[in-house]
Amino acid sequence: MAESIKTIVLSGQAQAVAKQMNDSGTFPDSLSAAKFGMAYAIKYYWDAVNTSDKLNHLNGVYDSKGSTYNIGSLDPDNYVLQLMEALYPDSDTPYTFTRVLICFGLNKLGDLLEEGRLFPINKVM
Amino acid sequence: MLHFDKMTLRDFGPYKGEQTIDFSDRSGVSIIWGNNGRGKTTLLNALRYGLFGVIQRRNGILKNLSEMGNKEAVQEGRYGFTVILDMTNDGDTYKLTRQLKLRPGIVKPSGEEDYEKVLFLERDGSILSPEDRNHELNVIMPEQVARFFLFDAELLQEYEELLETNTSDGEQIKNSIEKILGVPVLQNGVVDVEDCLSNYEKQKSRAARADDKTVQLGQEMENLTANIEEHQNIIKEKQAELSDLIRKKSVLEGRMADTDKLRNWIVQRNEAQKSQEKHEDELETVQSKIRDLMKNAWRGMLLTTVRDLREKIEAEEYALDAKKQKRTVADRFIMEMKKAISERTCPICGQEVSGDIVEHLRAKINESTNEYVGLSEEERQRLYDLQNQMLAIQQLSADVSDVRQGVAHLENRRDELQIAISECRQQIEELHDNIKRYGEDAEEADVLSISREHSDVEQTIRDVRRGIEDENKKLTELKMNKERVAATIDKMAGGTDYRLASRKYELCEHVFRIFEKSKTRYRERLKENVEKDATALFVQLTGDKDYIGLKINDNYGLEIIHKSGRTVPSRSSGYEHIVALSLIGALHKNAPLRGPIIMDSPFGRLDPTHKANIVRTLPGMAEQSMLLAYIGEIDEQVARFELGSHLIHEYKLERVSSMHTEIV
Repeated sequence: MAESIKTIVLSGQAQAVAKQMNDSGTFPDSLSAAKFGMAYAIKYYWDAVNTSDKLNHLNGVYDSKGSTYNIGSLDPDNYVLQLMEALYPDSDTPYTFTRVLICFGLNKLGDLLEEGRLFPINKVM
Repeated sequence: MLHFDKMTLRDFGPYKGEQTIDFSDRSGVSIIWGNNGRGKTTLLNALRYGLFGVIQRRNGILKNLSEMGNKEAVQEGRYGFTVILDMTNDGDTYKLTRQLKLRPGIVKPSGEEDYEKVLFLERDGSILSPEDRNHELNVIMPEQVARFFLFDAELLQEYEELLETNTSDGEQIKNSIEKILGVPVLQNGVVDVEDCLSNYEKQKSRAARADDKTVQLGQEMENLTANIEEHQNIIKEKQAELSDLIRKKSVLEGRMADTDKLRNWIVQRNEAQKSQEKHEDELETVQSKIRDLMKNAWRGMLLTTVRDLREKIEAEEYALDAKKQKRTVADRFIMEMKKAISERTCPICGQEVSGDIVEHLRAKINESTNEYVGLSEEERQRLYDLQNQMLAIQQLSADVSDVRQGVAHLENRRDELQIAISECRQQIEELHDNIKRYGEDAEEADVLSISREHSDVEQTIRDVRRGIEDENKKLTELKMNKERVAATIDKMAGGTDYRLASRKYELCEHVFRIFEKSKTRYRERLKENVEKDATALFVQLTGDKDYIGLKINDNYGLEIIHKSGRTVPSRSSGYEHIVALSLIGALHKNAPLRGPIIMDSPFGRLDPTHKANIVRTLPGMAEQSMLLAYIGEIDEQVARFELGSHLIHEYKLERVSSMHTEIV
């Protein structure tokens, strides 16, 4: 049984990175940048986020000072939900994990942004 | 024949204070040596200013004459300048004084309007009235033919235009050539006689109308004459319009040349602005496409992870499935063996199964049952879960593509566009600075309108020419009708008045034809003479035996003839120069109007042999010649040797300061 949360809240730091990525004109909105962060974490940092334990631990690390997103907007076709179930079959908190992966990925992209290596974006896809 | 005796300059260009050049009253050549920037062209302009009141720069007429005042004199509080020409023409002595000076009461000018132009002409010691003065000057040296007397050799290339037809420059030069050769005198005669002819024709028509037998025909004749006159007037108007248009075109071409650089900058800047806008539009489109792709780019990034996951599940599913399959196969085999034991018959070959075999089969059944145990209930559940997971994962990769290549392509294009926009901005900024610096007084719209106006004028010229052709066709038709009517009247009319009018008309018509033929023959003969004299000069000047002469065309353009009889298709700048000099020399020989030749920098494009040839030929080209040459343009010793006793004076233009030259 999946969790019944209706929203997720990003960490303040992750939110700031998503905003900068959106301001660059490369993303249509911050939410697309956030999901890009999630995919980046899964693709390039799988070892750091490959178990429910690791994600549960990280969930306690990130604050909740960023923007709040509706699950309906975040995952209108349940793709993220299915993805989380496939990656973490033992978990029943897919959107909590989604939040963690987004925060983790955006923080890593924020590092690239600081070093001036985030763009062109195709190099980090 | 016009002869310059002396020229006095006061604060004209670099000639500070009062300075005089004595050309002497003798025939021959004067050479004025001066390095670049010392004022050779200014001397040519001083003569031009004295005679016509204009100063010609290489890019057009100088608008603000006061700019020609000596700069040091201005610092000392002297404004304006004076040119005095002492000259003789056909036994009369002239003193021409032209001045630009401050208006009374003005001490320091604030603009061109603070100056006034003063002109006096003394003939044999008496000052002429303004009307007489202008007439006299126009007789001595009409401005239209000045190009053949005072010329900047750098501009000799313009004579190449004569080889082309229907160019406005070519037409202007051709008109000037005909003017110096005296063709207009005959042309005017033809026009006057034509007027008389028209009057006699009217008298003839009136007489025909008065005659009972030819009343109607006389009326028709009058109508035709009126009609013809109307068309002739239209043609005259159109020809006048054409002349105005050609002049206008020439002025526009001058303005185009003046503002060429500025116009190019404006056009380039406008193009750069358009280009920038185009790039910016495309950049916006590219950015928008990138944003569209980036909306779901994250799904494509997960494809490898999804694939890994799928492969892992597939492997586990495959192992469990294999275990299940082995048990199924084993179960079928055990069932067959159990059947053989119970029926004591082989299910395959139908033979009887012995007791030994039954024992063997029982051992085998036991062995297979232990070895192929099949899936446990946990494994069965696991396989079921895996199959469901696989379905979910397959959905994760359905309709998802990796957009990385597409994004990379768009980002490359975005970078290119950003660079292009930046370059455009830089170019616009530079051009903007240039336009601001160079054309601060010019209205951009005016500058750009010149070329539009020029093409409009060209189009109107074509239309007017076509109109003249059409009118001429109509005129020819009317004249033929008139001749037919006139012939009928001649046969029918018998009155004394008509016969008398007819005789007067015929007499005048004969005179008209004589004038017309004379004009044509005079023109043809002039051309032949010009061709002959130009050929003689050309042969002397070139010394090349391969070139045997020059051939003249209807425009007085000259083509070089090779000894094979062919014309030489494209000639060098040097030869162009020599051909132009040959034409000018020939015109001087054939013109009723004679005068001195003053040449500025005539040797620039030529080799030493041709330079020496020109110097040697010069005394024969005109009674009085002046060469304005830079030091080294021709070897001084060679010039002296070639000119011999024809060399009258040598002057040097010596630098005192950058704004002060002394004639010594």
